[in-house]
Amino acid sequence: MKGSRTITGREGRCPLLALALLLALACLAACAADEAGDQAGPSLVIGIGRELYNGPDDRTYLHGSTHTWEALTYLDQHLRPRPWLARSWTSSDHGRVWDFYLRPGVRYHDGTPFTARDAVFCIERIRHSPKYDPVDSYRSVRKVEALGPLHLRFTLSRPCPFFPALVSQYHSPIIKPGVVDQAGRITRLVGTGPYRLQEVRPGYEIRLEAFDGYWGRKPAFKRVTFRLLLDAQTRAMALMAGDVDAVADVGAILPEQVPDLERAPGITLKSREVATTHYLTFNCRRNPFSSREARRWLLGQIGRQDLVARMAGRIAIPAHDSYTRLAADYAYGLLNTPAQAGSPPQPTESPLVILLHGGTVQRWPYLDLAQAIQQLLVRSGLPTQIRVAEAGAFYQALKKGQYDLVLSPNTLMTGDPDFFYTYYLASGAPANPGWHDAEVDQLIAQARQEMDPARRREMLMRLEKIVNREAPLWPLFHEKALYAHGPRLAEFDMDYFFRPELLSARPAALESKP
Amino acid sequence: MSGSGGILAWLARRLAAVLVVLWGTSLVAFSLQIISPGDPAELILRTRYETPAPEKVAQLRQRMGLDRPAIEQYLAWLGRVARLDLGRSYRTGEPVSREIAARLPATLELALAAFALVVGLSVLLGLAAAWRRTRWLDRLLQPVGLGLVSLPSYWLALLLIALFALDLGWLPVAGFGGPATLVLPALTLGLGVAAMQGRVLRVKVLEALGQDYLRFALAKGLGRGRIVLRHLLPNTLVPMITLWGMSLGSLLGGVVVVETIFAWPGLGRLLVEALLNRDLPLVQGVVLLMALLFIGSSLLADLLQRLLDPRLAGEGTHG
Repeated sequence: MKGSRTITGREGRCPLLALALLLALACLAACAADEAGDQAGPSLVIGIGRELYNGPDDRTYLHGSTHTWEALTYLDQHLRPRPWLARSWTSSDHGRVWDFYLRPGVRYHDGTPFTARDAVFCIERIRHSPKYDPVDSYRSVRKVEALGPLHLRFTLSRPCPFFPALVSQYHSPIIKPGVVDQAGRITRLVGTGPYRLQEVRPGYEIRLEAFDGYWGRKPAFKRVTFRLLLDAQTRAMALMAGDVDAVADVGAILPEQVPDLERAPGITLKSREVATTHYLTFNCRRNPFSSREARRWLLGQIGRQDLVARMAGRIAIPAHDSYTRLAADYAYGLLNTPAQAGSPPQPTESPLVILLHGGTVQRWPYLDLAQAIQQLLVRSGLPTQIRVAEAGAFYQALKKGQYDLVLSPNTLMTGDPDFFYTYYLASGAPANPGWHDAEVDQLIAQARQEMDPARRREMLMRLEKIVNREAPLWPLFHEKALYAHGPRLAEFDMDYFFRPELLSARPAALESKP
Repeated sequence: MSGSGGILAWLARRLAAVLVVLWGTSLVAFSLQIISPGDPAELILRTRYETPAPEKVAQLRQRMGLDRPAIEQYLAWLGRVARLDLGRSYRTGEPVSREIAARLPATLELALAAFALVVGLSVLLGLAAAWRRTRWLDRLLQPVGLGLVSLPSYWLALLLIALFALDLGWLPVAGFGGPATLVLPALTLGLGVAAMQGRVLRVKVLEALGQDYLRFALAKGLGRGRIVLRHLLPNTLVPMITLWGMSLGSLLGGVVVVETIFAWPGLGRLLVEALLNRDLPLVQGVVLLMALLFIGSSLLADLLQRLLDPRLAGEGTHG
């Protein structure tokens, strides 16, 4: 076409020019925004991989990582209950009555004082809603009452030696009663924590500001923003580019990202042992793992130490307890991998199924672990397939017993072994893998009520010995969570429940000042 | 029937069809949720992978109305929608309309920015490639365009982030708010579509350049700008309108991945979260809105094309 050749000009540069103009404008806008942020004072931006905003119809409205609300007690690094909004506690009537004496001078974010009546309201709100107490933590509580402005009493139907741990953190969040509607929904979050909610932008970020009237140690950062960065690569790149100051949360940094982050200038990569343990659970309802010999044979073949070191070395500590070893009073280190012995079980009619939750595969090296176990089973003449299912299908398969092996995590939220045994190994327990033992049921029931610490520890030790012998499920590793921060922070850490330690976080600028 | 009367009749028929399609969409979305494995009540209670107590699951099922027959649940939902009440999210307890209202502007902002990029870039690329058919630009644009169309948006996003945010430091890696945060998501979403449509427009321009009216205009010695604005664009862009209208729909569909990578708090991510949580009222609300946006953009494009092209406007009386 001659016509096309006769027209010559600079149209070809137009797309490139337009793009360049667009980028230049955007860069100017970005610089302006940065300057505005700097003028507003020091702030901390934390990249996270899950939504911390749970909405009005939730126990706490915001996740505990936000430090916006507090509870009666918290668990220290050994998972022992420590005073928080409750300054002290005592028990009477052989552990059936628990009196909590509340901290004076605590105020809500709106300036009103916190009282025992508020605590009663908050506990009642939680224990009467299936959504706020899904594991039925308060099933043994008969009555909660305020005996004075700062005196709270729980009356239980049976002794509970670990009650102060049971009411820790998520089990007794204190939210101002006035902001809860008749349906129990939180209309706006008013707590007592060192940070108060400034703004929630669902699906994007949560902005907090320091609460001047806080009763305890004041945080160094006046403002904290939690930014939701769902994609792991985006999170790491945002940290390297300085868009966020830190990345800290469950599975926030993947083991495969470690080399890149270690090489990145100015990035400090850290790890922290957390209260999460990862399990290999057998389906004890069907062949071949209904047999104890088959379970022990597989564990002997796996060689936990080696497997964990190869597959999850950066984030794993091989487990020798059924639950986190951070629970220092109950960590016995009794679970030892059975020696390699015996012959493999007979192949089943259909291939064995290793079941994985799609959400866990993204956060932990479960697929690598499952593939290693699969190879081992196949080499032993047991055809095996790996099934990764989204949440609904995963839990349905669990319930229907459509699996032979499953990899799953559990966090010891109350810090007490009862939490683990009640939900995994007691007969009829919600997560029981089809394994029953009368002695175990009896020991769990006794330990739940035993007020003598030494005798209780002895009972729990006996339970651990039975788990070691029977292996209905097997803890593979305790987790070391990875987190990182950039050069703008002098001090930043994450605790054993994946919460950033906002009270101790300090900006680098303050570090250099005299 | 007059031309405008024909268009109105056509529009009325299309709007009636829209209602049927929306109803069908809601029915399909509801059915998929019902037949999907897993219990929504149990999923909501399984925070931190804890196993909820069976009696608590039963209580919540009752509260959520999940213990009623599926058809009853659907009819109840349909009744509420007829009263413009989309219900409350199972997970957060927020009204669905509020959850959607909080996310819709972000998605519209992203989709419209990407759409503007698609239209602008496809016109520029199409014109430039056609006029420089045998030159380096056309030779360069062909493989680049093919690459952009073929590249998965996830990889394109990571490449753009690595270049513009990490290496050059010009733009933020991710985030929402202000033009700087819009650039990379819009480029990721729009570049592939723009490249594809640029190729389509290139063919249209080449066809037009062979037409007598343009050869005549060239022979008359008219300026390039005048030829493009008065003769070439009106004749080549009208057929592109439908394509652009449909691309707006596909851009809305493509926001899921882009919103996830760039931490963009839009409807795509809301839908994914709702699906994973089996948050039925929220899924239904978002699906309905997405369908409405998709159909609306196609309808608008058709209408615009009919208004701009007198030959099509006459077809209103025939259907």
